[in-house]
Amino acid sequence: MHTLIQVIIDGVILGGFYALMAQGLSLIFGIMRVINLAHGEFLILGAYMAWVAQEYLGLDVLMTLPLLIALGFGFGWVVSRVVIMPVLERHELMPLLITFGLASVIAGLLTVTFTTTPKVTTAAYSDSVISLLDYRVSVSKAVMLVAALVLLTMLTLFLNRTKKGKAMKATAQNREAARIVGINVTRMYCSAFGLGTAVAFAAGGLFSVTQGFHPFMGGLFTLKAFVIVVLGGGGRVSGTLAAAMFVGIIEAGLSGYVSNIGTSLGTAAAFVLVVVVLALRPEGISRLGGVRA
Amino acid sequence: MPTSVPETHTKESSIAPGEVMLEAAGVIAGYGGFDILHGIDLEVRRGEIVSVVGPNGSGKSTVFKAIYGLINVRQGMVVFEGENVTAMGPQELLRTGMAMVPQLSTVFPSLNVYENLELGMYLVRDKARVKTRIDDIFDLFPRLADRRAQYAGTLSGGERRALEIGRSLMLNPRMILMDEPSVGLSPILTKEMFQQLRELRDTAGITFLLIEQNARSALELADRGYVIQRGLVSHTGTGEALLGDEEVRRAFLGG
Repeated sequence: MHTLIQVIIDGVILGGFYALMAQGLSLIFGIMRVINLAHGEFLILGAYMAWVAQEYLGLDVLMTLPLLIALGFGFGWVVSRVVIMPVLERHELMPLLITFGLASVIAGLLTVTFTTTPKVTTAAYSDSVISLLDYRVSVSKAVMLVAALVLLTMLTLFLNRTKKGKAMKATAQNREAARIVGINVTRMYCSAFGLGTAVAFAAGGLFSVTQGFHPFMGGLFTLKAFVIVVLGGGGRVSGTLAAAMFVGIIEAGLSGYVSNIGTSLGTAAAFVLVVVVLALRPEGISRLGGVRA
Repeated sequence: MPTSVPETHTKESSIAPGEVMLEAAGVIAGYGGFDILHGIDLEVRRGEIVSVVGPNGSGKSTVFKAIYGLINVRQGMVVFEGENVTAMGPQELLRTGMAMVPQLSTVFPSLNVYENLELGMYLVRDKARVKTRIDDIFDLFPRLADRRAQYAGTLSGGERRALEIGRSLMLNPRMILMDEPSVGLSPILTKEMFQQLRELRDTAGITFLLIEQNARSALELADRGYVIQRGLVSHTGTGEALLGDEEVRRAFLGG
């Protein structure tokens, strides 16, 4: 019983992080119909930035977060404008290949700059642990969960309540109609890519405090984010959140009950899950569609 | 049906009120170097409802696209209220006061009716103005007001069309270009919609240019009409005159 509850706690924390990570990918896919294969690398890039900010400027990750979001948005905007938009109307595999190449380039540049030795961003609360009854949660993980949920809420509010957010959803739902009402579709696509990248940077920054990271972790994150987006039905934030929690708890469960290889098993289990879900419900847990909330 | 390229038979009517609002002169346009329109001349006067009809493949939808800047006009020009708008795209035309309702469904299915209307005024920053304008639209279309919180995707065909027309009215256009507004609507709903267009013309003074497959209804509604065949205007005149024209009837009204 004790292990089960600890597993659920760990799973929810992991799930919160996964939800944020996956929502970035989902946003880009939902609006542009582009699968960003560099999403995990973007996340790792964010992690290194948080590490640099802490190491050289002494900034806590929570202080760095707004900066990461701004930089991520700008970086994503430029990347989509310069390399994705020109090929978007061409063959559908082109954006896939471009983002795949981008992933290799980022991982390579990070290796050259930081070597492959794992890094961890330190924080004043790095060694602190919250203990309640017999259950233990590190403060840095609790911070990650809370920040992830806050950011997800902000993203949802942005999409549902603001003019720009609604225009973004509208573009996802009917591109021609968006043009007719005067929405600049190219700009909307770049903003969506920027926003998705900002989310990845933020998720990476939060993650960097909880665990060691290295330049070649990105691929796994991309895969997991993809799994969660498919499971969640792509689109609704609530669907992504549910799928992310599900994957998080399964992963935490396997690593809690199976020693040593549990975490890798968890990842494998997530993929098995996707195959099963897609076989039974091809539309995902909720349904695959445009961006909704 | 004439075998050679048909020429204009009916002289233009003089009953049209107001000055010329939109004029297409010698428009040649098509796709990928292949011309569909071989020199279209037409004009719409302020306060008129003008229908462009023609058989399938005659090029009437291309007329729409050429005027609205969705395809390049290779030769000739389009003038709207004295301004040369030949090279303008949809965004710019919106600002000049010409709105369009295309043939494809253009509602945002997962946004509600209110949000759909809001986006009709995407180019306007003043929120209070948007709100007032939405109230105006709800006065014109009470059925949309009843469904304001409903997703547009759940509306019936007629309601969707009303929403599209309502949304195109948001920016207060002086002229609305419509491509096949009756597509997907039952005859009764088509009649209702045409009635609504007439009311909009009478009350709000909006000028309409309709491209219609449904020639009979479109000509009954219209003040004037143009018949397009093989990329050229073959007949023009009042709606009544065209409906009565032996040749037009034989060509494609089915006798």
